Amino acid sequence: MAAISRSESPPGTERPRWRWEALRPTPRFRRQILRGLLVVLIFIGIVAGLALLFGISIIQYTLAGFVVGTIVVVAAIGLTLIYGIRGFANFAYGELMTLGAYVALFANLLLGASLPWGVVLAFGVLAAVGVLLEVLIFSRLEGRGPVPPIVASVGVSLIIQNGIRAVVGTGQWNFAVTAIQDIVIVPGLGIHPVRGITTLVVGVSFMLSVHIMLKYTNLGKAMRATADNLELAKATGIDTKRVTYAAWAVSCAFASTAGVLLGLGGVISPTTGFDVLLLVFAAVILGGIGSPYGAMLGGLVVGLSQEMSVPLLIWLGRPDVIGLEHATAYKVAIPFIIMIGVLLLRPWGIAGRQPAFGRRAFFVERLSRALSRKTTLAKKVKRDETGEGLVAIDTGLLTNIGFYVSVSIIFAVLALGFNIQWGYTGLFNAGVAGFFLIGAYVTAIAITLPAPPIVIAGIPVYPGHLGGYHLPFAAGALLAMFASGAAAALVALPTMRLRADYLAIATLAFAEIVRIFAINLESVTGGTIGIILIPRPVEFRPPDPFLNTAAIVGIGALILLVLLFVLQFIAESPWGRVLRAIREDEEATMALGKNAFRYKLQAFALGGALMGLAGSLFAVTLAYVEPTISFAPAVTFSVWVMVIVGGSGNNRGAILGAFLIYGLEFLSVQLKDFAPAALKDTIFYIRLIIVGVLLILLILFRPTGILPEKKRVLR
Amino acid sequence: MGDDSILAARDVRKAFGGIQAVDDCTLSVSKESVTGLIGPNGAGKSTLFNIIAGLYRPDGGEIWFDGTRIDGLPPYEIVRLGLTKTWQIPHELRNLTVLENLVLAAKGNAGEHLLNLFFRPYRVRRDERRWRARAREVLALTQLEGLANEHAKDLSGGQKKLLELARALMSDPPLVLLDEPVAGVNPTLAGNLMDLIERLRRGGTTFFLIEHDMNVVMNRCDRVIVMHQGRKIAEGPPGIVKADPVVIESYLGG
Repeated sequence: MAAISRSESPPGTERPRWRWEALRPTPRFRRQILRGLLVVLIFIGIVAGLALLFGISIIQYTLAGFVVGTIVVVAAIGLTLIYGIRGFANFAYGELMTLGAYVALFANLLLGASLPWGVVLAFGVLAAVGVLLEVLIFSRLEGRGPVPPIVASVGVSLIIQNGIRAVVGTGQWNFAVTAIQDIVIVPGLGIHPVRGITTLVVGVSFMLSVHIMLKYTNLGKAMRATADNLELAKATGIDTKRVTYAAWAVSCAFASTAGVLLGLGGVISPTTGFDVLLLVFAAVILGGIGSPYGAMLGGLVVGLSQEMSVPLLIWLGRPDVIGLEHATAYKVAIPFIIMIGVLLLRPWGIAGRQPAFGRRAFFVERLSRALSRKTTLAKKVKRDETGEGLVAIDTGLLTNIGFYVSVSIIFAVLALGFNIQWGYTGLFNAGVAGFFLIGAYVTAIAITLPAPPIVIAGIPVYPGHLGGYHLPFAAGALLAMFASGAAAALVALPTMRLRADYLAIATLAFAEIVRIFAINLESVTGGTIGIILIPRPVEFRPPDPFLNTAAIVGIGALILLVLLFVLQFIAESPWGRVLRAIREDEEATMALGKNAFRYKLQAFALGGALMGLAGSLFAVTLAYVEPTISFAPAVTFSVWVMVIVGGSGNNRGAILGAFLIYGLEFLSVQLKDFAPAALKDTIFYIRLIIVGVLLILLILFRPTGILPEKKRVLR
Repeated sequence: MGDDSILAARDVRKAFGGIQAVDDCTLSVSKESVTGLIGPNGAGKSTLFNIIAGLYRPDGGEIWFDGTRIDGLPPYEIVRLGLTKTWQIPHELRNLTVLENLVLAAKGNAGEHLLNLFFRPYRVRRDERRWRARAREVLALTQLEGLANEHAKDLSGGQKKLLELARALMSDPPLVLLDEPVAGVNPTLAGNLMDLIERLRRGGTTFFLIEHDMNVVMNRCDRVIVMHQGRKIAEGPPGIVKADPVVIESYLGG
């Protein structure tokens, strides 16, 4: 199965072979066939066992798993190729998939071409985009480690995603293909014969063509050699530049096809690709980073495990078992949990599982349902309480500015946390939003009054939430710091000893898992509505928006000042010096007698605790928390930009960055009223595009930020 | 393995993929000696050093340092026991100053513990002052005083080598492993460096060094150990080892 992973033929041990010899059944080949058969048999055994337990419907789920898995495989192959050759996790890959789907859609709907022609067009366009990305951005980041390209790829992803929103709009689209009746084994879970079978056929042919390319063509061999050892490949006379371009072209072309397949299975929207990106990452990690064959295995495992876990989750959801709410919604979390487990046991991959689909369907459905409910309910409750809007912000400019400052302070605290982790210690946290969320919810639960479920005319409008402990704000904030800090330590534990990009992916997955729980564990979190009526630390009666905002700003500013003082003290101490040493060279730091692992854990937990504190401030500033928008991955990306713009490794820089970048957002909100009608709806997306461009430009030309890290002159 | 040995390796093995880098290697280093480790490229010298320093875990065998078994210990604990190592390719902490690089090599600096910062501020300050003074001292020894507040990344190749040595000497350890200490250092400075090592040896420090410069090995080492294909093939005073036919064969016959 793991046929040609790079590690199997160390240089020097493989004798040169004639081309035709590869076709002869060597003992190794026979062993692989046997191993493959064994795996198939075990798999059939598992399916049969599950069928006995949960009924014959498992076959339907298995088929669905294969379809989902196939799409993930196509995407994972493309992602892993670039991972292997360029050595970084391409966070823009989701958007490249989306872009492919939109190009095909454009050909399909506007040019009137049939979908296969759309696929061909998308294939070509995306291949060109890939080469362009390498030429313009990523070739300039060579040799700067795995993180700068990740940051640049997030910039690319912001530009593409919001570019699509600005140009095409946020609507959902479908390809114009004739629908044929589903084949139904279990009612409601049909496999669409055209879409399902097309997906399988395309996926299998892609896998075969990758195999042929890697094994039998000069380009493929050159790719493997380059992925294995760039310097050696160069010295051997391989044109590694050309190989890199080819890898980008193939990778992005695969992304386009994966995007089209995603569109066939569901709808096309600006987040079509991003929604499955984590699953693709999981597949890549499960199979072993940089190994196309591992990606195939990982993708299938991901798809199958996600879909096949459904009957188990349904069973868990039964009231007589544990009565898990919205049980099947958790199928998207299972792969991440498995992935983190795999990172713990076998970080080099092999064996694991993860779901790929259904998440979007689930989100869209629940979002639209919840949004309509939420607005009515929120209004109702607010009126009951005060007769005025609780969170309604006076349009007075002063209050607006107060609001801007208070949110900037929250972002500044987040940025300080990220600065400790990344700026000082070099630990890259892609799940800032998750720790932020934990802090916000822990505080909300600790300091609110009891909130029972609300049922109006027999319709449940609010599921209630855990808590109602009505603790003072300080206690809530301390609990939040503790919870987020502990969560950070827990997530870091399995990945601390690995490369920066593993930590990035694990934390990103963690943030998504946390969010899935926040949305679905209704009796604890209030579901999509969240938790409302969070008391402010200081409340003026009758409510005065200006005074309330001023009080929040005052408390926030005080906390920020104290934080800056304390952080400056500990980060510039001998302890902080060890953190910076680890950032520069972990191995050398260990050889100087420092337990690097312990320091990294401390720094990561401290950063997590600060993010929890930020969440706590957020909860009392807005007076409500909700899981869908406030804690989306975009929050994490904003914090990165803030720290990088301000100057990583410099606490004052992190704060400055937060005020500047959030200022941009604030400005875009204020400008909306003055913007020409044509721009009104797109101004938000334009802002995010600007952030993306800024991110790329900074990482390329001024990686030290506005306030660079200072040289510490010791006396 | 006489009683005067400070470091002893017994049947140490380490393989990478299919390559046996260190193969049942047994050797010992006497207290207060300057012992050279030589051998052709790929003989396993640097790998052995990395195993001794705890950076690689050996596949088998034992390593004893001053009466303590150290194989399998993490590198930072081995350093705390008093065994430091320099890198063949300098691992300077690039964006830290030279002085910071040195102070980081301090042993038991109270300020490096988070809680001490708050609960033992006096000890933190005292330790930091003491170690900075020590760092100045070592800088003077290695003739790097003028560069104290430069970023380590701005040093020349030879200066980085000196920085490596300076860091290894900071905590005044009983045993120092030097991986090619004078490669890339200009001859005058290299001579001074070897004089310094000789002075420190008389002060009680043991040096175990890998070196390709035969002048250094022949003139400065008390004993020489020769490795070839992962094993020790000869050992003895430099003059005798030099004439050993097995050694000549391994160097010339490859």
